[in-house]
Amino acid sequence: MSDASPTFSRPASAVRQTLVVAATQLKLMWRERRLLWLALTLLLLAGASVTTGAARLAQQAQERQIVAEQEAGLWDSQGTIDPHAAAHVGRAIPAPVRPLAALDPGITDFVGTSVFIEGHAQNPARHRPVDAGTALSRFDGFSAAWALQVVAPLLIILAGFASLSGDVARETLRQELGSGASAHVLIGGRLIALATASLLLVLALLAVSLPGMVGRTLGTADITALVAMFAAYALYLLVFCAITIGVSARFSAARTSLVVLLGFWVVATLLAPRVAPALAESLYPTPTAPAFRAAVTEDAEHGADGHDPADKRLDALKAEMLARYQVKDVDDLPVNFRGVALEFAEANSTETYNRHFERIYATYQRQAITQRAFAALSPTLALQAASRALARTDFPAQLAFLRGVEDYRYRLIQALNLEVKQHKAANGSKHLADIATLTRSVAYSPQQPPLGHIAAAQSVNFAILLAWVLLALGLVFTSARHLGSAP
Amino acid sequence: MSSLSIAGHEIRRLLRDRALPVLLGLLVVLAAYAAWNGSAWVGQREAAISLINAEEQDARDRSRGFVGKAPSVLPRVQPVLPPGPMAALSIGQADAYPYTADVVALGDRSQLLRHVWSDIGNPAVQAAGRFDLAFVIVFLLPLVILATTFDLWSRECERGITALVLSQPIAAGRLIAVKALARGAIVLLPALAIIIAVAAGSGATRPSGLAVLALIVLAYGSFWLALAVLIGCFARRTTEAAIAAGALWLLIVVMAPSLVLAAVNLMVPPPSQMQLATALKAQLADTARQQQLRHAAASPATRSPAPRIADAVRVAYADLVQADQAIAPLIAAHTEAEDARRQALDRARLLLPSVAVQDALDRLAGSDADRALAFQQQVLAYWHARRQLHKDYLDRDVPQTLAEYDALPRFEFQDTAGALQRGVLIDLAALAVATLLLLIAAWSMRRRLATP
Repeated sequence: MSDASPTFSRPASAVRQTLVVAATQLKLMWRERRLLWLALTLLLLAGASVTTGAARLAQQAQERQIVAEQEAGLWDSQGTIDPHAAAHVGRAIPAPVRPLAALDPGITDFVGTSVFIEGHAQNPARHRPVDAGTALSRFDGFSAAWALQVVAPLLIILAGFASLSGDVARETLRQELGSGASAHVLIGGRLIALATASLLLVLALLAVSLPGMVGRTLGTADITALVAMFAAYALYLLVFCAITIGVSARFSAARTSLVVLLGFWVVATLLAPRVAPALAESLYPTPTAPAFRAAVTEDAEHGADGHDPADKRLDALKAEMLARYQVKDVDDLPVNFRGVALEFAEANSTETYNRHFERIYATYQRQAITQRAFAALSPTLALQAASRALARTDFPAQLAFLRGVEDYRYRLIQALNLEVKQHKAANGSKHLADIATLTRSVAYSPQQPPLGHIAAAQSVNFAILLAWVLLALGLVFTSARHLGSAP
Repeated sequence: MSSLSIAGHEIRRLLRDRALPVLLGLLVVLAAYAAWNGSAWVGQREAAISLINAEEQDARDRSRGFVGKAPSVLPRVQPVLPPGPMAALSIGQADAYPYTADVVALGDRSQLLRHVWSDIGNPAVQAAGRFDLAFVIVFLLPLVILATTFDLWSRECERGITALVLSQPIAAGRLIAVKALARGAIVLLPALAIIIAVAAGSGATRPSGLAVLALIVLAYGSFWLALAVLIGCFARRTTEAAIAAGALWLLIVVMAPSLVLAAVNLMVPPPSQMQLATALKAQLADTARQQQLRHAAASPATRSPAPRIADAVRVAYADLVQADQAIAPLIAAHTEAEDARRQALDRARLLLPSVAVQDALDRLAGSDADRALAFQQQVLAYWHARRQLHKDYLDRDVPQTLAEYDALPRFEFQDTAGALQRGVLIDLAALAVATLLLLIAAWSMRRRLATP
């Protein structure tokens, strides 16, 4: 036992020494008031952004609730009319408000806030908040998430770039190494200090964000997502802490360290997140709206729409119905052939629209995968995707809404068509029905991706972040060795 | 010590710096990519417009067969807002406003610009922001300028030679001004040449447009040079100067515009498009219901001799006009609220140099809000004219002839502003004032240059 004690005590002592170095560094950082004020300003702005964002979301939720009620009222007030006429009247379905958008708005302002549903067609979401702006609108984007993604790394760099480089730091380091301290302990202590300060920043941001969001329909899933988001941010900031300390240890001149770190910051947080999507779109271009519409029109609108008596597919359907019921005229069918035709046409056009829209979504997906490849250059890209997904402000969340609306649209229109089909109208007149009663059982329930699915989909981004952490820690380790051999 | 010799020394020193060719090389690559991106966007927009034009022509050809069978045949027209001659410079607000419209003479006004299908681009790509030449100029050019000018005086301070330099027969203020101008010439002029060359290469070749572009870049570059002078007046160490330059860049280009935008949105929130759409639908449904009741109650008037165009057509037209009048107050209130917000955003830009430059570039490229609004106004006027034609046929009681159909006016957007339009001049003036304020601040701090 007595032989084993020094073996155990050496690492224990190293850990103690590392913690002592970390505590000293934290004290020094605390004394650097300029950075503290910068961090406090950032917290204040981020807190204000979350609070105003949450208030805006609450207002939006209320507005959408009112619109949904008005639309339901308008739908029900159609009275007793031809059910297919109601399909042409249509109704708007507002998108749900995501509570965590106050923290990370993601693509919220760039997607439509409601979908107008009607028979024969699938419309894309409309009324984007970004519409109808001015030059200033291009500068949108400040949020608590953005502060953590872009500004917090800059603060880390400013706080840590001179911790091991620069004349003063190198002289102190020489003395510390001369007194027998290990380079690993000195560099480790500084890393722990910077990481602790960053973690405190994340926790402080969480603390200032929560009051703004509490009571605004935050469910268990949202709180779990919030915790996962902050874990991702902690990992992300750890990457910057380690890179900052690693670079600071590698270069003796503080100016060189600063230039290298600022260069990395510009590329990682500002350039890559803007260049990667542009390159991805160049590689996998999205068709223009008129091209998309022309393709759909060619397939769907020129196909069977249930109105065109000359349509060949309707002729085939008619022949099949007449053969099935062994009658010679559609008037002798036990069902209303107009309803049969409308039902058939709706299924046909829906299949066409789904096919075309899925092609667009596949293009978006390919663009997202291409963007992810750029995460090798910038951890911000991996974090941004994970943060948006957890906040449910990314495209998959919007897609879940769109698919939910489309499912509702199809059920609603086919319910109307079924009513037409089941009621034969005499003397060429149209069957009339009370639309409110007829469609009462067809309900819309908002869809959102479950947290488990999000976690599974984001595992790649978390893995990329972890890889960045390992890479950055590797840099710290090699820098420590370099420092130990040639301070 | 003459100004020329100081400038010469400064230029030689900067040319020896290995960072300069690297920075300019990076600028070439990024600007070329941005210009290519802008040019690709213009190509895509033009292809989309060709498709729309073909669709419109098809509708026109198909409708010709109905002339004479109805009082008037006014096929659906899809006016388009074509990209301007300098469009590759900046995508600006071109994605935020409809570039096409649906003019159905006998449709309701709310359908004119509904642009349900106007944009199906990937929102994640749009949210990242466009990588166009405007982005390079507004965001990246200042970084290049600051990277080469942030240590205008701090290096001398660090080396402890300020007293020696200031013992020469030259005023401190003049010294730093000459240094700034020398460095500015070495960085800004090649950067300007790069930007003009890539802009011309992307198809933005109008000489007056390129001249205005040069003016904007020079004005913006001067603003950042003035800022570098100010940093030189208070930063004593190179790292301190670098931090100040980075922080000011972040503040001026990113934080301040974003926060001002958030503040404007809070004070003058955008009106709800969703609520407007539902309110319009409700109003139109209500008007239609009232019209139905009125028609059901009153027996149709008969004239003798019977007119060539049935009176039922006139009644239908009167119903349309009445529906328009019913929704007009809703649209007017919404437009007023949108205008108020736009006005607030427009005024705020004058306090923000980076936004003023973005605005000037958008206007130069023709991707600004004013041009998009001018298009909407012209579409509205065209729709009114189209309706008037229908009314004229009804008033004269003679259906439209084939010659009249063939002579139907076509929509063509009329650009109302040139390259050096009023908005651009205001932006340049705002930039000049900001630069002047910085220089005044630097002048008042010139005594600090002698402080070690």
